[in-house]
Amino acid sequence: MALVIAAVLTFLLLPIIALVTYQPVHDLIHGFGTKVATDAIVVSLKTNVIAFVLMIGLGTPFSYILARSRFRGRSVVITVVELPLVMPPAVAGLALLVAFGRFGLLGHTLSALGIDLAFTQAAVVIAILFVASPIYLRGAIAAFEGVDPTLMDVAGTLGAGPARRMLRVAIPLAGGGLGAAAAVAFARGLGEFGATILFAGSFQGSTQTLPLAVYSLFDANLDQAVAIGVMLIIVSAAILLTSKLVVRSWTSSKSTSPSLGGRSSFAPN
Amino acid sequence: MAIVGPSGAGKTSLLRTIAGLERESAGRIVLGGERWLDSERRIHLSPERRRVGYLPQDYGLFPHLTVAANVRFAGQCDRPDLLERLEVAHLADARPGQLSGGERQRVALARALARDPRVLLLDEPFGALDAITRRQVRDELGDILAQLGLPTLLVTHAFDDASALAQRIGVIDTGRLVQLATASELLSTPASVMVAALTGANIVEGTAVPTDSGSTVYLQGGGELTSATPARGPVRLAVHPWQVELADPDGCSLTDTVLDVRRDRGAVTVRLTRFTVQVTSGENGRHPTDGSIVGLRVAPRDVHVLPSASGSAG
Repeated sequence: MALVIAAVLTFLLLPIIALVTYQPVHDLIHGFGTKVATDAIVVSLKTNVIAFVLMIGLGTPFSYILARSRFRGRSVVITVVELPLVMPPAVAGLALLVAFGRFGLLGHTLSALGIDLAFTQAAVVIAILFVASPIYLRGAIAAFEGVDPTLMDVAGTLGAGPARRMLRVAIPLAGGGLGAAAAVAFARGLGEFGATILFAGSFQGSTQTLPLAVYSLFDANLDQAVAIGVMLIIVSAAILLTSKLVVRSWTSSKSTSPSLGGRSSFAPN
Repeated sequence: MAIVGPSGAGKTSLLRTIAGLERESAGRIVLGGERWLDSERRIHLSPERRRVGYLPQDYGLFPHLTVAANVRFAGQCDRPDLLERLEVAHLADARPGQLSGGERQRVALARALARDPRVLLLDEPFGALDAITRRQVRDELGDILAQLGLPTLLVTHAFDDASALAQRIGVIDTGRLVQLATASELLSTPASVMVAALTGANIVEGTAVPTDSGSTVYLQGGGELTSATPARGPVRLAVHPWQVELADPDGCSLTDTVLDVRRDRGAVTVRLTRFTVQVTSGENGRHPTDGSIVGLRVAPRDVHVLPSASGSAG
């Protein structure tokens, strides 16, 4: 029993320990400060924050509407949402390229308008959105479905219109699930590699995010690649930890309330 | 006014339709000149445009908001007067999870009143409560409703609750109104077997023979009862448990065997094979023993002949 646990933990932790202890701390910190690293940090943060804002801003109402409505073909819509989750990232990048690239499906129209998306920073944002937002959408739909529909009905009878019902009742009650899904999606976006390199390329200071910098430095300067890798691990671990704390504080602040969300409500009599 | 009916009768659907929460409804809902639903004129106001005070079964308080914020949700401003009036002012900063069932109901009422409703809709107001709080909350609610003087529609499956709170009671079954009357009218002249059963009556079958003063009914399984209502042929009778008197089996035209005797505070419920009888505790405190045979007496005016499908009632 203890042996199995030790074996699994060793397997999971060993690569991380190896990465962190690969070089002296001094060299590691030096690696954090190189131009390639700082450029990649700026690109990663900028593109991920933009993608995150778009994902939350559009994905939240989308998930809310989808969770609250029943229509023919709803399961088809949900499957479409989940499709990018199972799509290999490289295929996603290829698909984005032939959709929005200069010679792509929509690319003709876009380049006629003077918009060229492929291999720009906008392409990085699109790649992250495409790959990461389904994670958020799926989690958010489930979170909204967990909100007791009676509370939404009551909010309506108390004079709250659709927007107020969503902002004042559904989002606060689904908050824990929304936060957890957003954190996982953000971490996925930060680590995005395959779709980005095919659709946006890897140009330092423009489209080279942290994972792409690791890859491009892999041949030239392994020490620096490892330093950036460590940086990514620190950021990802911080996101994981924050999301856990957020979810915990959320659920504990609700723990004194009746478990309305879980109840299967009333017999329709 | 109360709506009573068995589960699945459409009680909750009725309230939800009035509140505008059920979309698939045909018909008309007009309240004091305001037209809320008119399927012919294609009018269907959304819930937020109908002024209803809707209390679902477990009151639907928002668990993430304090009592004061719950009430503020309805009126957009603080309503200390309403909290005061419903005696929950001291709970203003509490969350719904910390409240008792009765307190929750009062907060939900305060919140509904902050909406300034034209009608109060209460769905099984005691459904979420245990038997002990139930009675207390029911009395409280009765006082509050009397004070408010607001049209109130209450649905429940319990005839007791309806008769305690409402002047008029509508009985519905599978979506249709079966009878609309006062509680005492429902007891004395139930329109159907279902209505009689809902009021807690014993239902027995027999064959009626008309007499000068009504009819004599020969019951299935033996024995006879005299009714003040004239009837002929196969009939069903409704007899309320508290209108049956137990007597010595000798000289009684109807006897039955005691299954068990249950004492609940002042009342004693005697279960027989065909009847349930409620008697008040006698001075001597003696009750029939299990398995013994007792005689039953019912005043002819308390033997109600039910209208049956075949129309054999007088």
